[in-house]
Amino acid sequence: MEFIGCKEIYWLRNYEKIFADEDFWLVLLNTFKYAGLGVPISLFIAFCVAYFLNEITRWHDFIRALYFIPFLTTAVAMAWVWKWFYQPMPIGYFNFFLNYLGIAQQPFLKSVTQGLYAIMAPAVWAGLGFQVVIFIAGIRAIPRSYYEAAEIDGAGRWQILREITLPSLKPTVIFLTVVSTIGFLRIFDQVYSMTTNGDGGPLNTTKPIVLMIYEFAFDEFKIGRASALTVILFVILLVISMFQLWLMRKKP
Amino acid sequence: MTDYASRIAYLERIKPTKIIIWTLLFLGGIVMVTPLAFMISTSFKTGADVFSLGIIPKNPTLENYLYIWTESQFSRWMLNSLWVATFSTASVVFFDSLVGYTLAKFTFRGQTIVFIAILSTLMIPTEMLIIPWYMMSREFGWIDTYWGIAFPGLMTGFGTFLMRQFFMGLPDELIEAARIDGWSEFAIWSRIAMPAGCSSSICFSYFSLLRKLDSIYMALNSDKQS
Repeated sequence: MEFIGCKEIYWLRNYEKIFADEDFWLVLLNTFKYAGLGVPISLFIAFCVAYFLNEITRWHDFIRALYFIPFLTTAVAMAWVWKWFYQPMPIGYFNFFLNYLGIAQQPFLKSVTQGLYAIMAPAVWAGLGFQVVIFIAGIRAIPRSYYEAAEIDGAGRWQILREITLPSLKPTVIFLTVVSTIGFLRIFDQVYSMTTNGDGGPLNTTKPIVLMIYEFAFDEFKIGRASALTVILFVILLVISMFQLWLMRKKP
Repeated sequence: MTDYASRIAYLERIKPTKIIIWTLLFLGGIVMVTPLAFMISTSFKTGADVFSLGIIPKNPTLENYLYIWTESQFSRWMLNSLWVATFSTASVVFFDSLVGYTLAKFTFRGQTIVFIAILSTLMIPTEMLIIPWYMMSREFGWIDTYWGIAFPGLMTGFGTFLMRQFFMGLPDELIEAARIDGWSEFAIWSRIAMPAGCSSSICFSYFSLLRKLDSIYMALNSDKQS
């Protein structure tokens, strides 16, 4: 690895090539689709589960464990199970159920329109347990006296949620939003293991940026281009995270 | 007391919704573990049976487990993972909570920059870090040692961020009171902040243990011979 002795300096040529590449813009859009849909959906589900889970007492630990268990699995191994679920009729469970309900067979991973969502589902599924546990820890940390005061004042359930629970959970929400946005923008394992040959197909419609980086670096050995793409991804993540932190600061 | 009576009435009214909530949560939990259940059931199936739809294997077999135990050095691998995971979890819980506490409860010049710098380490894909890590561990002569696998995980941006967010929720009054009593800052951290954030630090150590056990990349890293 001789960096000093390189023949000519590329300056911005790696970046020019990336921006001139049509695939890059498609891949960028895919990446934003994963994050733009995956983060709100998973945070919403996780909050609902955590909020209601906090209220029930019977088998509380057992049910919480059910939600947490998927987080213990390895993304690669579980992606294979999901891939198997998505297969056509004789072996795939989803199509088996659709058939049972009398709905037409779906191509899922083989489709240019459904593929991305079919890969997003296991990503949401795998991260949910983590978010639920963090949300519950956050809800538990809210002092009981707040609720008691609110109940004495005659606040309703919805009002307590909006005026006390959500504002007190702000540090938790910030953490989860930032971390899961970064996580979804860096999605790789699921796409790599669920698409044929790990190429983000069909027709690049499910390929995220990290997979493109991986291909540049380890398939085509264009390390310079891969590094430039990493820098682009880094800048995108930095800008988005800073924006989220800025958006949610102050306002008690 | 009318207040008490109304409270009872309130509790009785809420009961059916509680049952519905409980049922929905339970069903959701079952859906969550379904893929895992299929993986477990497949592990007991024979090769010919793998793609059959039933969750209960027709001819249950332990062949797959015996294969792993005898044909690979599974026990050795597990021991490696456990050792690295335990070591780096201990390190991460100690250092990350210290840094997180400092960022949450002190104000100093350049605080935001330090925080953003730590946060930005989360933003680089692991895939891209493997080569620099490998080059570093070669420079230091750590190839094929536990240290070479463990060093990138001794402190994490993720843990620092998590602990910072939790310590932000810790009331300042507790710390002020201890300071007035003349406690050292380290004692305040170890005897007030850490026990108060105990559930979160336990939950975090859990996560980092899992992450370490998952870290296939680091093992790949040290296996390559230069």
